[in-house]
Amino acid sequence: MKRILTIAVLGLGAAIALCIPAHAAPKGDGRPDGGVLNYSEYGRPATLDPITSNETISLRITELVFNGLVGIDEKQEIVPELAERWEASKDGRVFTFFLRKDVKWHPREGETPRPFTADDVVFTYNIMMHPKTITPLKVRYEFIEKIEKTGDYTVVCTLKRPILNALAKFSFKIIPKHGPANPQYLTREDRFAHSPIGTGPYMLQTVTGDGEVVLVANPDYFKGRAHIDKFIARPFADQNIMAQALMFNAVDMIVLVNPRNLPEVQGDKRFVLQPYNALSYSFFGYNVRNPLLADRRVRQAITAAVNRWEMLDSFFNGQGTVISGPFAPGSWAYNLDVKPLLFAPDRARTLLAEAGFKPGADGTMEKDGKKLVLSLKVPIEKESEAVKRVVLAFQNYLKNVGIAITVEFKEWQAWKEDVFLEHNFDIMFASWVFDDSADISSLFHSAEIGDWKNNFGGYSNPEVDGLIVESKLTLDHEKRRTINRKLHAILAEEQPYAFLWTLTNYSAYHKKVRRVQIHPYKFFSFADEWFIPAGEQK
Amino acid sequence: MTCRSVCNRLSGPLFAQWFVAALAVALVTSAPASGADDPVGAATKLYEKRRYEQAARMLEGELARLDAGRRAQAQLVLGMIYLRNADLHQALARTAAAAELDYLDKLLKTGTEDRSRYARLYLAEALLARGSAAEARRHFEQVRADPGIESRYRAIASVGLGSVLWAQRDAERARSMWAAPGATAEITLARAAAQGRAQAVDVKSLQRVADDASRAPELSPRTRRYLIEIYLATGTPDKALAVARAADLGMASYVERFKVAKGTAKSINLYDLALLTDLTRLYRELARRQLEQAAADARMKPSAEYYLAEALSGLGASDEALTYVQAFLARPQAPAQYRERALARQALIAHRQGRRAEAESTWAAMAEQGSDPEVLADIVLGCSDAEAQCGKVLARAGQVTEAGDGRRYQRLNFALGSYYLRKKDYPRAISYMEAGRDKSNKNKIEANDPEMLAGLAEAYYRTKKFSEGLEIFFEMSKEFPVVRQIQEAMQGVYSMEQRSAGDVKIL
Repeated sequence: MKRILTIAVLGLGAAIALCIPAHAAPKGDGRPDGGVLNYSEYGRPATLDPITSNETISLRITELVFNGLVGIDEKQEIVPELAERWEASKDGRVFTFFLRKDVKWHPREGETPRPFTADDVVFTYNIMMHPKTITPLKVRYEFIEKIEKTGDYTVVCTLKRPILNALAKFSFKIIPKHGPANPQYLTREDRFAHSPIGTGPYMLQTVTGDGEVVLVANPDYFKGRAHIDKFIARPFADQNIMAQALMFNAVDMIVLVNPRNLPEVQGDKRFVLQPYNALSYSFFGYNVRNPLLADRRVRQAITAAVNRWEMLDSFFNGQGTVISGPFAPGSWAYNLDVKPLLFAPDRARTLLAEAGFKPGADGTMEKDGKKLVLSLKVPIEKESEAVKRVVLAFQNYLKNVGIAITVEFKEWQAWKEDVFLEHNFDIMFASWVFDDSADISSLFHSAEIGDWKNNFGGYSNPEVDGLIVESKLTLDHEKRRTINRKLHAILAEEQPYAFLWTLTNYSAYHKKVRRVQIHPYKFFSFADEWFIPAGEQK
Repeated sequence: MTCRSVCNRLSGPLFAQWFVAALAVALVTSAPASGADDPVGAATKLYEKRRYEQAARMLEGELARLDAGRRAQAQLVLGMIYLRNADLHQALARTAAAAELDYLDKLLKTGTEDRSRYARLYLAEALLARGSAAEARRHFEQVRADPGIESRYRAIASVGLGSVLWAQRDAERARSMWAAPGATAEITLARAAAQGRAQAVDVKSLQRVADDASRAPELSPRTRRYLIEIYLATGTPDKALAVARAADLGMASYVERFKVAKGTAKSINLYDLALLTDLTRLYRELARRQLEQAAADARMKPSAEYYLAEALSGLGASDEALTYVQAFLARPQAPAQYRERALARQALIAHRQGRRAEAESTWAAMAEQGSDPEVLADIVLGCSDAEAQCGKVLARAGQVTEAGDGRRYQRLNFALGSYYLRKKDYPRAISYMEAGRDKSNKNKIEANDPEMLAGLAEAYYRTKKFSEGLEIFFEMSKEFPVVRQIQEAMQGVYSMEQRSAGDVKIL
């Protein structure tokens, strides 16, 4: 009763707008409901749906709003979510999922909540795989031959072939058939991408003019109503301000603490720091459509010209590790025998000479009368003092070997369009973060070259393609490791990116938030269990 | 160099507090020296950064050139360096056992056609190294009977089975296993190592076998491991150290390659878990030697004896250790903190000697009366070592860490984390060790005791947060290449156990 009153007080307007039913399903674990959790994000989500998004801010929100057929718990066990149970055929090709019958979609204004059924699962798969749907998910689910409804609450998924870890793949988020305006395919322009409804513990209430994403607890959540009433994602343009906001209680949680603020946060006993996102790294990515960058020697020269250790020490206080290839050092796929290319400006000059470049009158390298001038595009919303310094240092290191870099900071959406859609760049700066599967296929397979796909640089190497496919086909874990070690070695040699470093990543939260388990990749997977003691709720 | 100057320079890291007392006693009349010609100071700096190998090499090279007084001082420091290195390798061996036994077991259970054959041999050897003779026996027997395994490895399995039988007090059958045919250098050394471990053969013949083998132009990782073990058995740790130094400690003991008709040929790297336990013993023996030599100098004697007690206790020589603790405690001028810590050690030795109630009541009383985090850390580590419950000690230590702040409490947090790690309460172990971890340099050994990092990595491994554990060892491998075996095993288990969809996003 107290919980219902809390909702009424905190979110009366929203409750009316969303037609929240008077009844609710409490968790019954004796922990209090109520309170608001403000968390800071470094930037705003591009979309709020789980299909078209390709960045972590969106991922965190969709984790609160949606569910998959199965989930993965903190012990890496597959657990039921929208499917209450499943059966697998002996040959590992057919999975039958028996769906829960007590799940309802978040209601839209003026609607009563609609039930979740097998139609939604089939719809999600079909829209995800539609050629016009812009999503990085297609490559991940190409192994599915078909998904069919065999009853209102039963779906049968047939795979083209058995694969390792198949069941975990069905953790993709299910969206409602009645969700998108266009039932055929989904784009970022669809209303659903910005105003989604799901089955998850939290429902989107509003996105404010300041870009705050306000989520309220779903009273009908099938696992029991989440304890905390509201989650508010607050975008910040400056990483340093986020730490100050935490210290002054303006937010309760920072998903990613700026490394320079770690000592300050660690020194304050009000907060807990938890390691997060170990499987990430930063890089300069090349557009190999540019003939200058198509030459591997030029790419190797750039990496050799750049002192990554010095940059890491100077701009990030050494809070990270220089890497050698396409996997993070915490990954099972990292090839421990491959060492990072050394800082060797003379070697860089030699490589450029081998590629046919000679110094011009102004010191810039030239080939066939064309100067080696390259554009570097950096998203302004990911800009920080440290990133600015990295970019300037990069420019200076390359100038030293005769490569001129023109830097352009672009607004986030414009940067993404330049890089992922128009491919209008020579070099870009970004960071990837991976889940535990260490799947780099969307980054380097040639089939992933195209609009809004992750192989933005147009990198193509038949050997790499072959290994990626072989890695997906094998049912032998050790063979997959061997293949990934080989992939690592080839890509370290090929340098489709200048692989930079993995940074120290910690999230921070106020101790008043209890029972906090943070998923190392998706972050909010267990947030419905979090709670704030009644006396500490704002 | 004066005591004050050294003490001031060492005021940063935690272990400096250990050192301060040692040097307070030891360096009363030390001669002044500049940084350039002060190997003890330079080695101390490396020691501060937990670069034990570099620190040790620096001092070893200088010992002969120093005058008697300075040499004793250098020997004391060198002993301490070896001691910490031994503790670290012991922690690494524990963590390695967790990951490697899981990994090898999973390799054997894999359902694929191309199943590893050699994993069984390495599992048997790992189990033997961890003292699980009965389990090891079953696997050694299966390896011996497997015609798909090269004959020399089947012979090595026979030698392993001999060791199991010896441990099970069946000396006659053990000897018959050791007498089985096989004359390659590896088999000869395997036999000698096993007999040396069992003290079943005279030292001179062992020495001869090892000296002959070590002259070979190239030695396999397995051969080197046997040589280390034999030289330890013959009481020549310097030779064992030379062998270890000449080895790439990160190199796989065996690379199992599989044939394929097309595509990529699979390979599996297999490692000797026993290498880590051998290195632990090696560094403790080296510490003992240096500290015994340092103790021959009257000025170094009190400090050297303090650390000797620790080294001997680690080597299982409880009676001797007790003698040194008592000698230290009999000195009224011993610094108060170190008296307390010596008392905590005395209780641990008592526990090992079977006087458990006495030890536990001593620890409880000390914890109740004290609040020095270093002393409490020693008590908690004692409880952990002795696998004692220590309810009152833990409650008091928990209170102190809760109230305390900063790096001064790092070691106490580590001690509590270690205690809960041994109790298999992994979330609590992580919570304490993370509380003591310098987050700004989370994986750097300069900022965080690598022994703590190894424990934390194990706790993360046990809770299936594999990437956090691997990240730690990735950084640590730069200074300690021997952790490669832990990395490979953790990667293997991680690869098999991870359940993820295959997602990647822009951070």
